Amino acid sequence: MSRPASTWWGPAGFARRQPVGAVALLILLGILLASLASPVLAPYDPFANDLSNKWAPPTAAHPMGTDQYGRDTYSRLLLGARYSLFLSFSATFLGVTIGAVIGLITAYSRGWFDILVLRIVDVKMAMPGLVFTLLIVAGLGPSLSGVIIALAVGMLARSIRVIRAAALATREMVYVDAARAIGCPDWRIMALHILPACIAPYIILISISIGGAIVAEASLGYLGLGVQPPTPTWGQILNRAQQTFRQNPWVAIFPGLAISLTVFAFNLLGDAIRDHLDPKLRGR
Amino acid sequence: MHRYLTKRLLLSIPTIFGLTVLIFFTLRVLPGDVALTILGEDTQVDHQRLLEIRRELGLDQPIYVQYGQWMWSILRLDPGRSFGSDYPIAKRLAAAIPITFNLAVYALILTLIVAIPLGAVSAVHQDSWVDYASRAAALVGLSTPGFWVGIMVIMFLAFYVGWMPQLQLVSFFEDPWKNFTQLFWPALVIAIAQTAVITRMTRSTLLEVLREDYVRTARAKGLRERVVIVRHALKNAMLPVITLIGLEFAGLMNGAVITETVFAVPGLGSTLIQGINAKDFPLIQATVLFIGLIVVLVNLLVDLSYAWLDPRIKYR
Repeated sequence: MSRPASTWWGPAGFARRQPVGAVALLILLGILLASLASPVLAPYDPFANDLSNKWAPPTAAHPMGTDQYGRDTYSRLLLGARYSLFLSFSATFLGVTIGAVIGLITAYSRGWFDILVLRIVDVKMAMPGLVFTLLIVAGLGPSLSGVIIALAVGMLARSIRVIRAAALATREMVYVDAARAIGCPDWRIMALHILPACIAPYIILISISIGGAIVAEASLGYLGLGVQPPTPTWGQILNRAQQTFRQNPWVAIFPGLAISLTVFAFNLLGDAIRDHLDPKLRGR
Repeated sequence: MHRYLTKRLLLSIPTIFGLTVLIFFTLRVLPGDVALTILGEDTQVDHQRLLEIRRELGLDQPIYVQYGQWMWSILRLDPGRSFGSDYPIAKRLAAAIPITFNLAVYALILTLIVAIPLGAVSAVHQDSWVDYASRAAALVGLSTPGFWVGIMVIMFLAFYVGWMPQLQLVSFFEDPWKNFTQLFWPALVIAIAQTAVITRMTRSTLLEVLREDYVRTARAKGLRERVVIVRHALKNAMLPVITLIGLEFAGLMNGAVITETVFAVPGLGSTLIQGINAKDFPLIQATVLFIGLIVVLVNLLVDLSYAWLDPRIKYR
């Protein structure tokens, strides 16, 4: 009896079934490594002014040009990648995980807590997400932690809903009844039986939320409500770029391309992971 | 049908109430003192000034009193005055709401003109190059940040056509064509992201409908393919799409906030951003509430329109 060459769940299985997703993953790993290695990779100091060379178009010396202070755009983008990716990853991980825990608890406990949480989630989803995030940023003030908290809270509602639905479905399964019948305590049932069923939706949620988080973080930066200068985040670079685009259009083009490429890759990856993990969609 | 209508109308009341509670308590639950945020973190805290600010914002009262006062002011349609500038908030919102509404209508029309035919063609010719192209375009549209697209549009127009965002907006009733040309580009930028979502949805619902039995019957009757698609399939596929339009209206408002800032359109979105930058909390609260109310209202209208569009509802 021969064994399959690669297991369905493994990376090789993923690459074979979702080639587009695998390519997207490679691109993203490249971007991530570049951002982590930015102190080594950046040809110039992102904060170093060089006023004799301001608003330079792309040249061999400065492949993406310079801004109004003569700072190299490519170096600033590399550093900005670190901040933008860090902010988006933290916010997504925080928001989706906390939402998942809440969803798990409400699904298992039912009762007044469940109803209360559900009402709040419904009302929150009636409001435009960015507007709600802006409300939180207004209260917290523009800062690194403010952005992370604001973005994370914005993701709670969807995460609670999805994980709660998955947990509810599992709760009705016969093996949960059986576990309860043999006297298994509630916490153990949640951890051993219900939690594993929620892992796939959890992973899918994270992968489809990161793209939106990056765009949201960039939007906050553009509006001047994110991390404050001189720390370069992609959105914030674009804020300045819009004011000076007549002198140098290039500073406005490259950060946007960077954001679009990263989010596009994440969206492709998210779609691929969802297709890979969600049995209902297989076969479409 | 009347029961359905009344039920939907009554259900919206707790939603609106919940909205006010959510907005009010979000600002007050957050760590950090609003008055301190206004004063700024770097300056030496002048306690007298701090107390003054708290009294002016009503923060020294018990929380249920604050909430009651705010709700009462909203019900009277007079949310008070801006913090700091004393300009009446109601006046500011009254000027901004029609502009955002104007922009949103244009954006919605542009979205539907492109998204529904594109989604339909994509579904009918599934897996053809048109399908792949439109799906790729939709994904690109979803991935590019709206404000960057807006900046690119402004740059393109400035360099090649010499067009700049207008300072003074002409009302639709004064000069409809001028109004359209002024708001066309911001509406287009908003429409790009919305088109991506609605194209995908139209495609997937139409794909499901095309597999239904009544479509097969229509074809078996010998009807032309176009009649089958437009008269039978598309009409039934429209119901979930209309739901999506209602839900996506929230996304439209998100797009409006960003795009109004990029193009300097003085609507609700710009007002909100200006309020946040000025730390004008009464204005922020009122603006967020009105944006939320508009979304709830649109979703309510969408729900109510089902009674007219879906004959099955009449019998519920």
